[in-house]
Amino acid sequence: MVPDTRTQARPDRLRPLNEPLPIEVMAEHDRPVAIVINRHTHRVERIQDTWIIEDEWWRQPIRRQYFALLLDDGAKRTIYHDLVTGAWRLQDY
Amino acid sequence: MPVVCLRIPWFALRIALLDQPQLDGRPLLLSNPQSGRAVVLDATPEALAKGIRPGMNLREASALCPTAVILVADPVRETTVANQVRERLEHLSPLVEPDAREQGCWYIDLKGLERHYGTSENATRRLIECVDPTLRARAGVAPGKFTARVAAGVATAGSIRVIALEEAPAFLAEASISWLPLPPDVIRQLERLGIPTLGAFTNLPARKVAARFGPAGREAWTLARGEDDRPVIPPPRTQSVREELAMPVPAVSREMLIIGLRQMVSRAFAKPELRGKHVRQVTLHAILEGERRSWERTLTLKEPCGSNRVVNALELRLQALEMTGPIEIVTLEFSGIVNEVARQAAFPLMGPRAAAPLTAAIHHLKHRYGLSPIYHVVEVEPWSRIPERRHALIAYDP
Repeated sequence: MVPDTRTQARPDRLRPLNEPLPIEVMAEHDRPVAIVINRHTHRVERIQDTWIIEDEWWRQPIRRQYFALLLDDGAKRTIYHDLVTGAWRLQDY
Repeated sequence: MPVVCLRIPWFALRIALLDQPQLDGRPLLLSNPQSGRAVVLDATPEALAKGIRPGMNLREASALCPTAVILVADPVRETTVANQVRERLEHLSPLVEPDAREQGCWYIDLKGLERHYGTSENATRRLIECVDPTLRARAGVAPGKFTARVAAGVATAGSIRVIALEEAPAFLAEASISWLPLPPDVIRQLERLGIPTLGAFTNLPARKVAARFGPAGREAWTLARGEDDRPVIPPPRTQSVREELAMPVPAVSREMLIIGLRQMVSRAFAKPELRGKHVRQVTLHAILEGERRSWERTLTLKEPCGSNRVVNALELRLQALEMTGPIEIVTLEFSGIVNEVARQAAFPLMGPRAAAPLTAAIHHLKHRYGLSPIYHVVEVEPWSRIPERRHALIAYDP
């Protein structure tokens, strides 16, 4: 385990991990049917799971619908649909 | 494309009648007599005609109608019957969507069924036949889901009300404001403002409705005008694992119940479907001894959990449980099944011996670049449901 260095934490030195990345998604009725990764379009073979998180309504509301996808090449990806802005993002959950 | 709304009004009461059909036609009340403050949860039209209203004290309701029969809700049976109806409907059409706000209400897209059954009425008749006649299902057929629901609401038991596209606005204009998908307090506010019908509601300017009632009000205003192009979207099929336990002796204490639950959780996680997996949600169904009574609790976990953490969470949740009767059968349903979430306790190379050279190397880098280019992972809000809030990198500066 890394020992505590007792260095004072500074917010500007904190770098969040696992930040969502923009992703191009083809959707039908708000459900993804294909996604583009590294300029390659992958068909969604199956939506393995979907769930909604709603949080922080008291400041900047967060409403996301996550989709755990199985792609046509066998890869698994987790994406979400931002229900506030309508944008799609790639993010491990 | 026409949409069918198949509806079973007073669903919980009709379910109770499946076992006692001789009570059909009598004033019936749905209540929770075991709880501290017993109130009327629902009432049939025969009971409503006597002046009984949902929310009323049970004693007051009994005084108003001494012949009223009090029935107790059986949520486990309601869910089972609702699932059975949905499965039967799905044999006829792949596009079946249960209403999110009302149990005992389904939307079915008639796409393709008209060709098979000749007319949309024939197809709808076939859908009604999927439901036990005791449940008194009825249907509405209209171009949109909202109009179909209102049409099903005015149809009588076993009948079909068809609303064509051109007659939808006039039909909706006469309908009660209570059909709007808005919270009950907003509906009461509208009634107090002298807006009893959808027609009166749509006469208000859209921007004023949006300003007063927000986006939900604006959407309701559009629906009330018959403008509804929402498609029928079947809910996704999620994998779940069920584990049932018939208690050797009816469980009367929380401790007995928890012993049974521990056994069930370990049995469930030994099954191939759950081995090496974590779950996000657990639903506990309990069927009580004797008369048909049941209760259920759903536990949504903050993050996917394995068997030990599921047991701890269940114990914590059941601490405040009030046992309303001896439990005969318990069922646990695990859903939101995901792969095991790994937790790295320590970086294997970071033993005490490796730390000293690393510290020296960081000092060298710091002298050269002015700051430490090595970061370490810290927990920020590990419990957060927002993934990017859980961990962060912070400069490692020994």
